[in-house]
Amino acid sequence: MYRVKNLTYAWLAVLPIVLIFALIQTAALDTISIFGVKPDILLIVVILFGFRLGWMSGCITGLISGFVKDIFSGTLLGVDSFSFALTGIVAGWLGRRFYAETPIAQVILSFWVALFNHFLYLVVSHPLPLGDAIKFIILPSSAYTALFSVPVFFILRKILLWG
Amino acid sequence: MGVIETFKPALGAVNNGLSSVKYLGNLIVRYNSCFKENESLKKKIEELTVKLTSLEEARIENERLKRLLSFKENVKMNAVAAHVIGRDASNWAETLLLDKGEKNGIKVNSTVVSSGGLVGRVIDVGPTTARVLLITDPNSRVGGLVQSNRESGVVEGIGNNRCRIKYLPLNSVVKNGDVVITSGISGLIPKGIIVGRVLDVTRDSSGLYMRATIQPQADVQKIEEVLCIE
Repeated sequence: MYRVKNLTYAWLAVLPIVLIFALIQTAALDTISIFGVKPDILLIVVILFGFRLGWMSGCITGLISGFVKDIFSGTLLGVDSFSFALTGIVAGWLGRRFYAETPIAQVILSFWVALFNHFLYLVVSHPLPLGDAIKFIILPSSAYTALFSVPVFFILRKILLWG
Repeated sequence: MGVIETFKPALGAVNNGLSSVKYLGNLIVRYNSCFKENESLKKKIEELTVKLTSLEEARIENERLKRLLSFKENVKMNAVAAHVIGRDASNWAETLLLDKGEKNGIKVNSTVVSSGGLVGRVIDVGPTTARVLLITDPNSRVGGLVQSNRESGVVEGIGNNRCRIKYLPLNSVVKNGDVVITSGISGLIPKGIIVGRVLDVTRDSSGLYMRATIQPQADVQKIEEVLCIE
């Protein structure tokens, strides 16, 4: 876990950031979708908070982001809140052991966390058969989210004054 | 004159030099004015490009709305036109958010179509917004009919901008390119709305039925305006 300055400011900024990201994800990210899949920038917020602040902060951010995502999507209410909260815990656990401020580390770790989140979602809500889910959503979405985490981490670090 | 004759080459050289300097001066002045003119022309081009783009956008929107309007005239039902203002935040669900809601007469289970064909149905409605479940969403089920041989089945979404018709009899003759329309059996969606065209036909995993993958007629990924019909 990193020593983070401006912690109060970061917590005050979480909700506005999550709301703005949810709006972007709903209204704009389809323009950059590849094979019908778009990066999950709300998940990236959870991953960064987990990596930087630990499992508890990851869990709380996950609950907030997941709840907002639940509201902004047509899926069963609560599934994203639950899966994002658990994902925040996993991100905190992984961040404590392996996180480094390098793009490659960010991409690799974000990929595994996104993969965990998607499998968890699949187990909880079972929207598609396993093969189709892996081929059409889990792998492409995890990869895209992981690649997208680099610029989003950069922007978030600037907004949150984390250097 | 003799003296001048002596200095003639030097005078010539000075004159040539002066001419060159004058020429250079003119060149600089002209370059400067050309540069300014170029800058102002570039600005004008940018302005005109912006105008042209917005005009082109208006022309395309006009064409889309005309198609939608002619489709609306063919539909003998109450229809409300709406703009798509958002899509699902999740990759798992395929839904649209519309800028019209209950106040405009949209209700839950209203059928949503575009000039291309069936788009989905309304699953949630607020005062000024509505959420549409696309036919490509894995939770979507619609009664379908193969137009050529009248075999009926259930059209379900399979994600990735595709759907499929299930429970077709084993002996049914369905070919690639066959048109699938709504059967109206569910009672929610009117009969005869085009769903899409058959891409491939296979036997399902139980071996008891045939199923066919369908490419939706409406481009649900890029759709911008829709009609909600009752």
